[in-house]
Amino acid sequence: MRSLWLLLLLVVWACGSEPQQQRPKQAQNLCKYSKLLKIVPTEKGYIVEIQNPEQPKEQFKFQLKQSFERIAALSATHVGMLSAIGQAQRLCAIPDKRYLHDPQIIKAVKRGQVADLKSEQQLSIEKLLAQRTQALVYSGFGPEQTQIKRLRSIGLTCIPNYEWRETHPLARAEWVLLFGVLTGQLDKAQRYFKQVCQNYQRIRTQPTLCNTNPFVISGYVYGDQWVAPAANSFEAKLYADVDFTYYFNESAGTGSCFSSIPSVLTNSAAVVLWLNPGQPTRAALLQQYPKYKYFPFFKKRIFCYTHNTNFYWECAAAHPDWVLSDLSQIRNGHVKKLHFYKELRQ
Amino acid sequence: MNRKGLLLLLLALVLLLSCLLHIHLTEVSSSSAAQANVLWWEFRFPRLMSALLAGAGLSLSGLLMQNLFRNPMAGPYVLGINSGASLTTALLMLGGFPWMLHTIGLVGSSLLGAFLAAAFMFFVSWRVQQTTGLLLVGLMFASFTGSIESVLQSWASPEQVKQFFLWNMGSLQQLSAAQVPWLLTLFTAAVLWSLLLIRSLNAFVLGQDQAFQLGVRTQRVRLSMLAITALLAGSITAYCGPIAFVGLAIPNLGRQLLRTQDHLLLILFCLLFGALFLLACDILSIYLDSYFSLPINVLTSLIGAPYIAYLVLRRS
Repeated sequence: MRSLWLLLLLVVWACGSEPQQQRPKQAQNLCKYSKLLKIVPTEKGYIVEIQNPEQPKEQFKFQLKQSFERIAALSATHVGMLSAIGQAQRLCAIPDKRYLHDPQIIKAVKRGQVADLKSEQQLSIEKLLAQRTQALVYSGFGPEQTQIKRLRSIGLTCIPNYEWRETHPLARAEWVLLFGVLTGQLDKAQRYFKQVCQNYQRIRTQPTLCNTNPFVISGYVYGDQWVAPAANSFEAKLYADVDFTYYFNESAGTGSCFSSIPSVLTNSAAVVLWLNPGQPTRAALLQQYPKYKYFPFFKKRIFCYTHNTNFYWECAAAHPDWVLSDLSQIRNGHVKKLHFYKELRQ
Repeated sequence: MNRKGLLLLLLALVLLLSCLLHIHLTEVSSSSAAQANVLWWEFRFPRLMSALLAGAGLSLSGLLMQNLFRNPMAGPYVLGINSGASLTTALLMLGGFPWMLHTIGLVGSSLLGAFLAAAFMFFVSWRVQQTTGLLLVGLMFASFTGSIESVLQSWASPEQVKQFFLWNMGSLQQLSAAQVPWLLTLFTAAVLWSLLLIRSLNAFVLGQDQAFQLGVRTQRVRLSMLAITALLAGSITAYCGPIAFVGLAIPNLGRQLLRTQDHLLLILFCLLFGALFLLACDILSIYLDSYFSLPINVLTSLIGAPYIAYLVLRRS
C-alpha cells in the first residue's frame, strides 16, 4: 500500500512537473477579403501564398525576409497600387507607357530611369537585367508563363498578381498589401487599405436620395455580341452596393457575360443609365457601331471613364471607394466631384 | 433537266429554306411594332444579306482567281487582295484619320487597297510566269501587310487598336440597312461583269496562250478578273471584315461536285453554295450563341481549313 502511494505521488509529481507545452499559435492571415492572396507574418518575415484561380492545386508560395528596392510591374494596376502607398520610386520597369497615367512615371520612362517593356507577352530579359530588377509582378494571364519560368531560372523573383480575378472590389484593393510586403511598407499599406475600407463602407451605407433602384446596363458591342461584367464580378458588386438594378443580374460567372445584340435591344426599354460603353463621346460610340442609335438607352444618361482611360486602369483597383463614390453620385443624380467617370454629352 | 441543273436547283431550294430558318432563328419578341420594324430592317435583314452577299461574292472572287492563276489554291485571301483592303483600312483606323472613318471612307479605302493589291499582283503576273511563284508572292504580300499593321498598332492609341481589332474579327452584323443597297449594287455589278466573261473564262481553262489563239483578248480579261475580285473582296472586307477560306474552299467543291469547267455552272454554284455556306455558318453561330461566342471568321476557318488540307493531301 505504501509503495502504491509512492507510485501515485510520483505520477502526480511527474504530471505536475512536466513543462507546459506551448500551443503553436495559429498563424494569422492578414487578408480579410481576398480569396486568392494570403499574407502570414512570421518571426523571420512574411509568408505569401497566391492561389491560381484557374488551377486550384497550383499555389505560388514564398517567404519574404527583406523588401525589394527595384520592382518591375507588368500592369498599370500594379503601378497604381505602388503609387497608392507612395512607393512608385521603386519601379524599374513598366508594361507600356501608352497605358500609364502618372506623369512622374512617364517622365522617368522618358529619362530612361524606368524601362518601358512595351509588351507583356514579349518580355525583354536584357532590359530587366539592365535595370537590376529584383522582383517582377505579373498579371498571370497565361501566355507569359514560359518567359516567367526563364526569368525565375535566372534568379528573379516573379510574383503573379490575380487581383483582376477577385469578385469583391475591396478584395482587389487588398492586393495593395502584397505591394506593402514587397516594399517593406506593410504598415503603411494596411493603414491605406483600412482607410479605403472605411470610405467604402461609409459610402455604401449612406442614405440614397432616390427611392427606386435605377435599372442600369453596362458594357458594349464586341464583335457580334454584347459584352458586360457578369453578375458575380467585382464590377457588378459595385453596382449592387449603390443599389443599382443591373441588367445582367441573372448572368453566370465572375468575369464577363455575353448576350445577343437583338436581345439587349428588345429587353432594355426600362434601362435609364448606361455605364462603361467604352467610348468617350456619343459620336465615337456611333462611329464604332452606328446601330447604337436604335438602343433605347442611347438617348438616356451615359457615363464612362474613357475620357481618361489610363487613370481608371491605373488607379481604380486601388481606389474602389472612389469608384463607389462616383457611382453613388451618378445614382443620386447630384454629381459634385467624379474621380473617374464623366457623362457623355447629348 | 440534267444532273447538274438538278443539283443547282436543289441548292437554290436549300438556300431558300436556310434563309427562312435564319429569319426564324433571329426572331426576337419585341414590345412594339416600331421596335419590330427596327429589329427587322436594321439587324435581321442586313445580317441575312451580309451572309448571302459575302458568301456568294467571296466564292465568286475565289473562282476567278483560281481560273486566272490556274491554281486551285488561289483566292482573294491567299493572293493578298483581302490583305490590301485590310492594310488601307488599318492605315485609316490606326494612322490618325478618324474623320475619314464614315462609311464612304471605309469602303473607299478598302476598295482602294484591294485594287492596289490586285494591280500589284497583276504587275507581278507579267514578270512571274509560274503560278506557284505568284502564290508565294501573294503570301509574302499578305505577310508584309500584316507586319505593317502590327507596326501601326504599336504606334496607335489603345482606342484605335481596339477599333481595328474589332473590325478585323470579321462580323456579319456590322452592315446597316442603309448600306445594303451599296453592297448589293457593287455585288450585282461584279456578278454581271463576270457573266459577260464566261466564254473567256472557259477558254482560260485551256491556258492563256490557247485562249489567245481562240481570239480571247487575254490582257483585258486578266485585268477584268482582277478588277472584279478587287471589287468583291474590297467591298465585302469593308463591310464585314476579313473572312477567310470561303473564296478558297467553295470553288474547289464546285469543281468536285459538278465535274465541269463550264463557268456558267461554276459561277452559279459559287453564288448559291457560297451564300449557303456562310449562311449555315451564321446559323451555327446562332445555335452556339448560348454556349459560347465565335466570330464568323473562326467558323469559316474551322470548316474551310480541313477541307483545303484534305484537297491538298488528295492531290499529292
